[in-house]
Amino acid sequence: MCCDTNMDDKRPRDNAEIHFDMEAIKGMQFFDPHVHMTSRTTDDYQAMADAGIKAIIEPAFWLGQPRTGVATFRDYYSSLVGWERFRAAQFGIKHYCTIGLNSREANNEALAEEVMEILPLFIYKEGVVGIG
Amino acid sequence: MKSLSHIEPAPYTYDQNKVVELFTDIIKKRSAPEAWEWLEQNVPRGTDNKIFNSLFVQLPRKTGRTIIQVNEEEATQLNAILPLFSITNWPLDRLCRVWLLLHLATADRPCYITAIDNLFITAEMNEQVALYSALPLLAYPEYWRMRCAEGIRSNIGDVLEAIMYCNPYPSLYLDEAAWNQMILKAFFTEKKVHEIIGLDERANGELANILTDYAHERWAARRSVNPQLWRCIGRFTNQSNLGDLKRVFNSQNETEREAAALALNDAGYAPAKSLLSENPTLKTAVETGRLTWNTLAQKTSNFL
Repeated sequence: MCCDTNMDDKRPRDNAEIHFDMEAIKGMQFFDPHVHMTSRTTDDYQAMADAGIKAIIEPAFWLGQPRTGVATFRDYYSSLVGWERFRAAQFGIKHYCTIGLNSREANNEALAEEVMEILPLFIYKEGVVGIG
Repeated sequence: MKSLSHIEPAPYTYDQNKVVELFTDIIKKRSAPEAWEWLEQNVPRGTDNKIFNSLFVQLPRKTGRTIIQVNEEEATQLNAILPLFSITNWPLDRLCRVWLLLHLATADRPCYITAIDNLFITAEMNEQVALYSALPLLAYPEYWRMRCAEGIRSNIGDVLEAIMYCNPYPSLYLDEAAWNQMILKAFFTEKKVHEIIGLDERANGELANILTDYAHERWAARRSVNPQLWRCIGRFTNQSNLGDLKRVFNSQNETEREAAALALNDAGYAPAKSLLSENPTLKTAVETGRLTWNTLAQKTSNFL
């Protein structure tokens, strides 16, 4: 599941180093349907482009630190349809996203209601392919 | 006699009806019939904000993004109303969005401003481009100063270019600090500075100091300096920056020498004129108009 912090699951089982063979995927084109680029560097974009990734979907997610105001949600959604799309385009990658309120953040009901109010402003934006 | 303070400022400072008429004509001629039909049916006459927002957002899906080439007659008509403003090479959706904005009701100032502010704060990349392109056409132009200054903080190239290139708003409305920030950012982000309206008219002493410092930083890092930078310094040549111009005037690079010659010619400072006389060939080129900032711009567009 997204955002879990159990590192044991992420380690190679036998501690053997994994060498990825770029030759095996040479010339192939990929679509990554679930990746959070907000938390990734420019180098990651470069590596993705080098590996043949042509398009991605970035689902809106929970940042970890609880957001306390609707304005930070608005800026976050704006960055998904604005800055992140631009950043991806610099590497020839098409950026799509889904817009929504993560259930982990929905328990602040008053804030969740405010977020639901602004969602319609974003759901028809270019590049938005889903609502959650 | 009534106090003048009760008179509301005119919402538009140009002939808005004529621009709407001209844009309507340009759009109609370049749109697919079904796209034009959709636009004509849906253009709100300043009614519901939610409908307006949704039209603004979905518009490119209907109009497409064909690049617009404006003919001479259209450009002349536009510039008779808005000097130097250009829509050439805009995608059709950008023009249609700007045209749509011109249909918002303006009589209620707070309502109008809130509607447009809300478009700005939720805008995706292409919407930002359209909104910043529209600055010189919006009602209550003095209100958008802060918005324009805010846009200059963007790092999205197309957004910066929408503010900087062929857009008369910044030179008409930005205060000196914001203007200077825009010019420095234009050099810093390697923009075609010669496309900035008001580059010469709004040059100022403070900007000349800022750009001189910037040139020193570039030199210290052994990096090149865009020769157009000296265009903003020429008129403010003085004892402290003459040495810099002398360095550029003696450069190994021809374009740099030409830029220095133009800057020295712009200077009112006598020692600058004497320096220019040391190279009669360049002096003549400048004086006869063979060498101008515009001819230099053609050579410098790839000098970065």
